[in-house]
Formats: sequence, structure tokens, C-alpha cells
Amino acid sequence: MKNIRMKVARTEMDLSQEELAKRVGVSRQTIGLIELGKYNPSLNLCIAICKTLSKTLDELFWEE
Amino acid sequence: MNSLFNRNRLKDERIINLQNKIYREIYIFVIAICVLSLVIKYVTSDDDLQNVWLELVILLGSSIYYMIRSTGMGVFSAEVEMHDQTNKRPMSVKTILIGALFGAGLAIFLGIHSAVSYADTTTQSVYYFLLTSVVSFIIYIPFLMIVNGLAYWGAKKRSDKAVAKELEDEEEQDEER
Repeated sequence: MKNIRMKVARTEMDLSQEELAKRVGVSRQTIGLIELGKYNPSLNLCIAICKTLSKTLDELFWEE
Repeated sequence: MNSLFNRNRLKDERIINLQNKIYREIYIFVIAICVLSLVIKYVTSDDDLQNVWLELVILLGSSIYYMIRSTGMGVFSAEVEMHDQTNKRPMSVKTILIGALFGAGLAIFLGIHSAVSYADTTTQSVYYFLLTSVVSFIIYIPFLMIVNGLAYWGAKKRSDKAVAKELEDEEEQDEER
């Protein structure tokens, strides 16, 4: 399942996948795959993404 | 009751990660044994490649397998990206330099081997060493630099293609819907 909320949060901060990847310390491929819902990130990676995008875990990763 | 038949049960990541860690250690252990066996066989027996073919197959085979899998899955591109983010010298330059260093090492090894095996006097051994080393330098350094450079270029191209395909797939499926 696609992670639209993460993509929206990223574009709101005017960041490309590559820029977000650099800030978080992972590859662009990893960010792209998380947004596409093809890769299940670890909790540490989720937290790093949330901190970079100034969002909470709920806001980006919790599925209702 | 439902949970008994639930096929989407979570796998224990901790166990999987630890198992992968053990497999990684086993791989390093096997490679170390192979290299040790290769050196011992080369030193103790005649320098016949037939004695060490199995070790060479294991060493080269595992490297080639990793290269094929990592480029096919796009991991190679990610590795290069991560490396270039944190290192001053890009991986492409490093790969070519490693080729040159390996060529230099091989040339010196062949020079020593030639001096030890075929020379009768000290002067002759110095002459054989210099002759074999210089010729090997001229042949192997450019050859290995080109081979490494081409292998890197091919692997990167294949891996980039795999990444592009992986990241596009979903969007294409969405458009079709």
C-alpha cells in the first residue's frame, strides 16, 4: 500500500526523494520504495523520517 | 481460533536478523578458509592451477553471484550512492584505483616468483625480478584498470535500470487502473 502521507509531507517541505534520503542517511531507492509501499522500514528508520519531516509516527505510518 | 489459520502472521524479525548475521559470519569464515587453502596449496605444491580450481570457483563464483544479484535488485546503485555521500573519492574512481593496485601487486608477485624460481645468482634474480615486474606492470595495470572500470560501468548501468523499473512499476499499474 502506497504511503501517500509521507510523499505529501515530503513535498510540503519542498524536498526531493534524494534530498530526504541524504538527510535521513539512506539511499533514494529506499525512500522511493517506502513511498510506494514496497519496503517495510524499521522503527528506527520511521523515526528518522518523521524527525526530518517534522511529523509524528501516527501522522506518517499509522494505517486506520 | 482465527489466529491459528491466519497465514499473514508476522515473522520474528529479531530471529531473521540474527540468522542473517550468522550466515554473514559463515560466509566470511568460508572465504577465509578458501584463501588459506589457496595459499597453502600454492606454497606447498607445484604452481599448478589444477590444485586450486575449487577454491578459485568458490571465490570467483561467490563474487560473480553477488554482483549479478545486487545489480539485478538495484542494491549496487544504492551502495554506490551511500558510498559517494560519505566519501570524498567516488566509488568509480576507487574501483579503477583498486584495479591498478591489484595489477601492481600481481606484477610484484610475478617478479618475485620469477626471481625465486628461475634465477641462479643474485644478479640474475634482480634482473629477472625487474624484467618480469616491469613487463607485468605494463600489461596488468592498464588491463585491470580497464576491466574494473568496464565491470563497474556495466554493473551500474544494469543496477540503475533495475532501480528505475522498481520505482516505476507501481505508477504504471496505477495509470492502467
